[in-house]
Amino acid sequence: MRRIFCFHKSNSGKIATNRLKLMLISDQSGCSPGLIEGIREELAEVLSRYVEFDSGQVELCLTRMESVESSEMISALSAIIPIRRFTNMRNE
Amino acid sequence: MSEVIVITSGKGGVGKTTTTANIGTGLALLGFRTVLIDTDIGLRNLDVVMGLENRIIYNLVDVVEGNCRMKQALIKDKRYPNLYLLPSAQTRDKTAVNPGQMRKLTEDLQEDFDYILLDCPAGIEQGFQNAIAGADRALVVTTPEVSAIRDADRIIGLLEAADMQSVDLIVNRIRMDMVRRGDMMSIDDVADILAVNIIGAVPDDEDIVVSTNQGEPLVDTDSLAGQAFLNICKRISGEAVPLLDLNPQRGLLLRLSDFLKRA
Repeated sequence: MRRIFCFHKSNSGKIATNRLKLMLISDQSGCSPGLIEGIREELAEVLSRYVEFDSGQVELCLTRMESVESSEMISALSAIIPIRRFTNMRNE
Repeated sequence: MSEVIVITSGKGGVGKTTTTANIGTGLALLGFRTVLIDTDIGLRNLDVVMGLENRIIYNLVDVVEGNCRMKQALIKDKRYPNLYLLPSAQTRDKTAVNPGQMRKLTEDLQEDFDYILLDCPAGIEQGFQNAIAGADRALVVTTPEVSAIRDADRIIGLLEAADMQSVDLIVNRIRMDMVRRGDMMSIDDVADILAVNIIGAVPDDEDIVVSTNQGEPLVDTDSLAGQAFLNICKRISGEAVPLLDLNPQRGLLLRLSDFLKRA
């Protein structure tokens, strides 16, 4: 019944997508999922002091790129954090 | 020009064998001389899905060990003039064959066939190594589930490491009603996660169960899954076919309830 009358869109598909992305980062890099989740949580914690964002939307990506100094391939960690608004520190 | 294609997935139960049966039958229907090889030694299944289980005399291991000639082991499907099956052995295991022997076997078949399809066992051990040894091309089957996609990613990595010339993805058992209400990953979500070409998506269709029960591939029926498989066959042969609209005709009430859910 809840499903028929519920007005908000369910999002377990989105949850699956996010869990998978994290899983594949750790599979491909060989570092443990706990470590990556730890980085994500601490990043979110620090950033939340300055900006307002949905912690569920933080996306971590591990890619291979060419180093600027040498032409070696190195791993690069990037985070995408959709910001709702900057926290106005002076008002607090 | 003959092509050797392995159908693989990593995870079991995502529909490799059903996919092999339907794509093989579809390619035969399109006029290509096609042979299906069941490489799952010890867990023979493709013959059952094809409805050819009562016609097995010799098998893959017999051919490799020289107990019979290739022609004696190949089962001709009487319903489709271009279709043949090389069944697996049920009482042996994966170590009965090695990758070198599989390469030789597929090379021998290339003289007589346009398409050689290999149904790969689940897992990444010797059975997988045997199945991919002679293949030029791989079709990775997955379902829109976390575990299946994770395994598909691993398999794609292994195929690339083995220098597979071409790797395409088939998203099986997709349910558009669940995608619409946000409870299943969409084809685009899967494409985004696995950076690989999607050659087709097959809807979760009750007709698949019926066709497997009967041992008759559904690729030549007008079911939605049957059409999806036939489109994949056309794409394999190089024809450009647009993606099938997987949304069946729906009544006004259902569409209204969808609209309310989305609001």
